[in-house]
Amino acid sequence: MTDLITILFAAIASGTILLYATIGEIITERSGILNLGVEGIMLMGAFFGFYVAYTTESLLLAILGAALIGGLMGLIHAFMTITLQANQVVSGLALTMFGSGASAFFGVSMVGKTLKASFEVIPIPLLSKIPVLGEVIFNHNIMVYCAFILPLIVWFVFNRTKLGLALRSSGEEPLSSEIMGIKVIKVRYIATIVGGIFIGISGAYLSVAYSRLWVEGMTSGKGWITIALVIFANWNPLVAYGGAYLFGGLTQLGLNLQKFNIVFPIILLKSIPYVFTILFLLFISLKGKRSNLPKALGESYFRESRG
Amino acid sequence: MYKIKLEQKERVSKREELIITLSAIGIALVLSGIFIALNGVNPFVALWKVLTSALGSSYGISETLVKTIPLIFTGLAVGIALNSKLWNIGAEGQLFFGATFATAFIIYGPVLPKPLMLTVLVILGAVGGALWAAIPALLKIKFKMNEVISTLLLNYVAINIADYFLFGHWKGKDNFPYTPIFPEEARFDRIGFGRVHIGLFLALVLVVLLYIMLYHTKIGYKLRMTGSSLKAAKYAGININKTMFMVFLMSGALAGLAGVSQICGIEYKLHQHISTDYGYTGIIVAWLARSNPFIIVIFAIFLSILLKGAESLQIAMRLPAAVGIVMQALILFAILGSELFKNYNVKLIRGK
Repeated sequence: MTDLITILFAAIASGTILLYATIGEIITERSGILNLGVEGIMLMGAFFGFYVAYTTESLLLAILGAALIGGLMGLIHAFMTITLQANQVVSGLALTMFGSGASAFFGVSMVGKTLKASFEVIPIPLLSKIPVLGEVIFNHNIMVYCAFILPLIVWFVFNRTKLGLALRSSGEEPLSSEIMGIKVIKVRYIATIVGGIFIGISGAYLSVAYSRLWVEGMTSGKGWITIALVIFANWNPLVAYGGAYLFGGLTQLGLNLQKFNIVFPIILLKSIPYVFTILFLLFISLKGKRSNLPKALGESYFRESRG
Repeated sequence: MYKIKLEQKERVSKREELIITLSAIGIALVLSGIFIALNGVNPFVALWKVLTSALGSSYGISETLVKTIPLIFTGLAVGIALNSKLWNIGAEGQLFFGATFATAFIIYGPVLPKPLMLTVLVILGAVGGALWAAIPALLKIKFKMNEVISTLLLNYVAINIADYFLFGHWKGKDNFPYTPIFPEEARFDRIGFGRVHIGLFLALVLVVLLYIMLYHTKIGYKLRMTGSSLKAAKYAGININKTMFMVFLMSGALAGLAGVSQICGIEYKLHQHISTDYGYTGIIVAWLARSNPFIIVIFAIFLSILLKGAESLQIAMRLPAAVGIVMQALILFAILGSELFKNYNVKLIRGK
C-alpha cells in the first residue's frame, strides 16, 4: 500500500512537468501553429529557471525568468513561421536544437550546483487528511497546485471568451476568421508566445522544484512526449490532466517494477516512457479520436492571398 | 506603423538564390559570434580558429573528412525520406541500431576473410538500421502515426538497447562500457590520408546511385511523386503505402551504414559515443541540400568543417562543447528565414 501511495504521489509530481508543457502546446496548436520546439524550450526554461534560482535565491523570480525565456523562444518560432512563413516542422526542430545547445552552452557553470531555496510542501488543510487521496493529491508544493487549476482556466478561456473563440477559429479557418475581423496573425503570435511561457515554466518546475538540479539535456525527450500527449488529449485542456498524470503514473509504475518482484533489466527500464508514448499514440489511433485536430495546423497562412 | 508587403517573384535566378543563402550563413555566423563573445572569447579569433583547425593543415582536412563520411550517410538517409515528404528524425537511433547489429556479428559470429567479413558487416548494419526504421514505417502506414514523433522517440530506445549490451554482456574487461577492439578483419582500410577510410568511397558511390535512382528510374519517380502530391500519386496508380515503406527501409539502411562506418572505420569498437549527433545534423544537411544527393555532399562537408572547428574551440578556447550545436541551429534558422526572400520581394510599406 505505501508503495502504491509513493507511486501515485510521484505520478502527480512528475505528471506536472508534462501538464504545464502539454497545456502550453495545446494553446499554440489550437491557433494553428505546430511547435516542435518543446524539448528545446523546456531545456531553456529548466536552465534559466535554475540559474535564476541559484543566483537570486528567489523561486518567484526563477519561475518568471523561465516564463520569460520560454516566451522569447515562442516569439522566435512565431517570427519564423508567421512573419517569415518558414516551414513549421523545420523551425521547431531548429528551436529544439538551439534550446538544447544554448542551455548546455550556458549551463556548464550550473552543473553540480545545489539550490538553497526550495518549494515547500503545503498540505491543504482538511483535504490532506483524507486517507490515500489526501497524501497523493493534497500534499504537494504550490507549483503542483497551480497545475491543477491551469487546465480549467485555459478551458474556460477557450470555450467561454472571445479570445478563445478567436484562437480556435484561427486554427480552423484562418481565412474566414480574418474576414470576420479576427486578427489571425496577432492571435497566433500571442498563442505561440503564451504556449512558450508555459513550456518554459514546465522546464523550471523540472529543474527547480522536481529534480532540484541542472543537468545538460535533462528533459530527455519529455518535450516530444508532450507533443504526443497533446494528440492523446485531443487538444482538450481538460483531457490533458488525464494524459499527463496517467502517463506519469504508468511511467512510475514501470520504473518501480522491481518493487513488485518483476525482473527486468534496469537499463531497459529507461525506455519505458518512450515506449509508453508510442503505445498512447497507438491507442488514440485505434480509437480514431482526433476530432479537435485544428484544421489549419502546420500550414502557413498568407494574408496576402486575401487579395 | 509599418507593414510588410510581399510580392511573389516571377522567377529566381540561381545567382540571386546563392547570394541570399550566403548572406543567411553570414548572419548566422554573426549571431554565433555574439554567443561566443558572451563567453568572453573574441569571436574573430574563434572564427579564424574554426577555419584554420578544419582546413589549415592536412591533418585538419583529414579529420574534417572523417566527420563528412557519417554526415553523407545520415544526410542521404534523411534526404531520401524528405523526397517523399517523410521526416526521418530517427537517423541517430537507426545509426546506433545498425552499429549494434553489426557488432553482434563481430562478437558472436565467426571471423571471416576480410572482404567477406566487411561485406557481411555492411549488410548487417544496413539491415539493422532498416529494421529499426520499419517500426515507425508500419506505425505510420497502419496507424497513421506521425513519423516525426515516433522516429524521434525510438532514438532513445535504440540507444538504450545499445547501452544494455555495453553495460552488460559486451562490456570490456576493465568494466567500462565498450566492446573489445574489433579484429583486423572487421576494420575498414584507410586510404592513406589520416583516419579517412574506405567508407568515404562507399558513401560517394551511394550518392551517385541514389541520384540515378531518384531522377532516372521508375522507383525514383514514384518516390518523388509521393512527396509532391499524394493525390496525384494515387491517381497515377502508385501504391503509396508500399512506396512509403520502401523509403523508410532505405532511409534506415543508410543511417545504419553510418553506424557501421563509424565502428568499423574509426572507432574499431562499439561504445556510447560513436556518433556526435550525426543523425540530427543529417537532418540539417538533407534539408539545406533540398535532398539532392550531390548537394548533400557539399553541405556534409560544410557542416563537418563547423563540427571540427567547434571541437577545437572547445579544446583551445575552453568553450562549452555545445557551441557546435548552437552554431548549427543558428545556420538552420538563418537559412530557413531566408527562404521568404527567395520567393518574394519583401517591402516595408507604411500601413494604416
